[in-house]
Amino acid sequence: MRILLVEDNRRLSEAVQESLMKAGFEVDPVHDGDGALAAASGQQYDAVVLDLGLPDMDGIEVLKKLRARRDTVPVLILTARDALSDRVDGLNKGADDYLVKPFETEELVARLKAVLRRPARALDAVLTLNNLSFDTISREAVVGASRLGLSRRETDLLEQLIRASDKIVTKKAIESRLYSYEEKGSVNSVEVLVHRLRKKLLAQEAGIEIHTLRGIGYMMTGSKEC
Amino acid sequence: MLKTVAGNSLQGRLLRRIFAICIIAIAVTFLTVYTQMDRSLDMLRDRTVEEQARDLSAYLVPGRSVNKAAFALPDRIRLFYAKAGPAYQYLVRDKGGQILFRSPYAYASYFPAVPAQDGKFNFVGPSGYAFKGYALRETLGGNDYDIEVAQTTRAAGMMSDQISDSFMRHLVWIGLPFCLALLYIIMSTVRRSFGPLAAAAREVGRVSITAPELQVREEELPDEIVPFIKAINFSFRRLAKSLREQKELTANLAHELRTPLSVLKTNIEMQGKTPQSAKILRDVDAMIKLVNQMLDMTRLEYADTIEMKDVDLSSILSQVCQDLWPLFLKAHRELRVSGVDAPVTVRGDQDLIYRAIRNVLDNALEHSPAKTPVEVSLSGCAIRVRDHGATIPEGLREKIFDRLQRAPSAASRAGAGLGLSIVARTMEIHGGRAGLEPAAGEGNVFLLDFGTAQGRKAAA
Ligand SMILES: Nc1ncnc2c1ncn2[C@@H]1O[C@H](COP(=O)(O)OP(=O)(O)O)[C@@H](O)[C@H]1O
Ligand SMILES: [Mg+2]
Repeated sequence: MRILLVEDNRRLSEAVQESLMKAGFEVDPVHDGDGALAAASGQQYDAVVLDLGLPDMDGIEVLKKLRARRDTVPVLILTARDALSDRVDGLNKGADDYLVKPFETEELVARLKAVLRRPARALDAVLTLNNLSFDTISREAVVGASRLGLSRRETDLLEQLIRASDKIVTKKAIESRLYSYEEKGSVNSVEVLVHRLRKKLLAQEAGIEIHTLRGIGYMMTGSKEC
Repeated sequence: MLKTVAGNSLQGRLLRRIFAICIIAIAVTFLTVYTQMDRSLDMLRDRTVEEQARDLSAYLVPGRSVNKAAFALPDRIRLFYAKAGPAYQYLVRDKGGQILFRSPYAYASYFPAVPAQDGKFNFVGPSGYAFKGYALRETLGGNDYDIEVAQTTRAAGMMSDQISDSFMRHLVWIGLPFCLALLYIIMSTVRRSFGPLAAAAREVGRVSITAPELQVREEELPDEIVPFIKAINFSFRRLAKSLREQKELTANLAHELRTPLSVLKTNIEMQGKTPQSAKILRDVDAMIKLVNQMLDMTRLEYADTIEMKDVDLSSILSQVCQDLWPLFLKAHRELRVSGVDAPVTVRGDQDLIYRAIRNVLDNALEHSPAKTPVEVSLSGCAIRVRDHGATIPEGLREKIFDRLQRAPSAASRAGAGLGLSIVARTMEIHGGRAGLEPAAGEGNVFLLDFGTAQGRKAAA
């Protein structure tokens, strides 16, 4: 996995580069916006870690230029700006995730891995998380050799959660994806669905957990033990 | 807003002066009219004796015998002099001083035998009254006669007193409404003329530091005020500039501090997990927290520069919960949220609100025991964060919102006691209130109430 690291602070760049390399990534460090755009057009990266405060242009500009030339490379913004508006702006402009400095290296690696799991381009992508793999074409969820045998809605839910693994998916987002307007009547239908999916994943020892943030939503993660 | 110091109002000063001038002018006019009238009354009196003399002269006619004149007074006039008593008197003498005719009560001996050139004379009668008189020379059939008329000055004075009394009454009846009308006109004119000044003052008060155009409109203002407003606008511009610079400095400082802290943290983390590095990391985290809180406090110091917008309390709360949830998960703690399905609009700054909620939620995680859940709810415009730790004793409930105040039990934990003071100040700026209530059973409820007045619930 090859990562483009855009960070103007040399000391931080070195430190991040080292810790990412320790986690098994290959890292190309650049220190300004022009360098980032040049590097990204010369090579297909698996992900970009992007600082917003660059000497020659704002990181958001880099992101906009990348997206403007149809580069769908996953971008993780790493910045000292912690204002909500900055974060919303970054995500709206096409960033895949947003991490505020100072951060935990572990957190950065986990988020990067999560971002890398989301196949934005690959049509034949198979999403995997621990023992679970999900084929987005055949829409089949498999643990090891055995199928999970999910209903249509359970499959939709699984896809939504695994695509956003390590990130919260709100109940509202699930409802609007899974149910048509008239069907929303039953309040706890999402809860029932999550409960069933969780049971099936557990039964097959998929090494998957679905955490509940009660009142807000759900998050799928791979269990630590696996 | 501008405050008027009592007695220092330009309008009041102007009104007082105009009133004083008016009163003086009216008084002078009145006095002039009065003395003028007195003088004309005097003249009237003078003329009266003169005219009486002339009247009487008309009745002096040639008599039957030569050298003898006759006095053919009509009964009406004769009666008048008879009835008036000594107040009105006349006599007629011939050239030799011989009195030919006289009114019944005439003090003949007091009348001048030889009248002065202008005919005027005065005397004091036997009972002490002063008399004024006039002698008229009339020539009839080659002989000269003096017709002398006298009248007490008291009678004249009485007449003039009567006249001036009625004049005063008239003056009061006509003058009072006139004065009131004048007063009213002056007051409304002054008010009207000062209107633009008051409007300018309101305008200056309306302009707030956070308004995009920090300027008072100069159009429609009187020329005299424009220099002041220009000066105010100038200092507003400078103020806005320095506030902007301060804000930028704070933001840059945040950036400048966070980056080296990130380097430090990443480098320590790369040393691998040892008890030693874990300890240092905890200290670094405490420092990061402190830096963040100090930046928040700096921002709150410049409360005037905070831009209040319509923000959705529900989505901010939801965001804080989502952001902090990983920490709860890591600590195997449960976070339960309720009431964030429908938007709740309040006026405020979303980042300040975000961090206020975050501070309270951080505390719940930090200061309440492992395994216990934390419940967050939004109802109306009030956010409640309930934990299941030890109930904070009554005496401490107010104190912990002060700067640097921490419960003794928290001494071993990282933190400087700034969090809740930031929360309290943030709520104050938003016209709301931060409070702490004991929870039913064990635990605490931290309340962030944005006030019912400012909130309105929008339909989902
Ligand atoms: N949820 C809570 N449960 C118990 N004590 C608390 C809670 N929240 C705050 N406190 C007490 O209030 C004090 C002040 O909190 P705060 O201002 O956030 O400072 P800090 O967290 O840095 O100590 C804390 O030190 C703690 O003693
Ligand atoms: Mg605290």
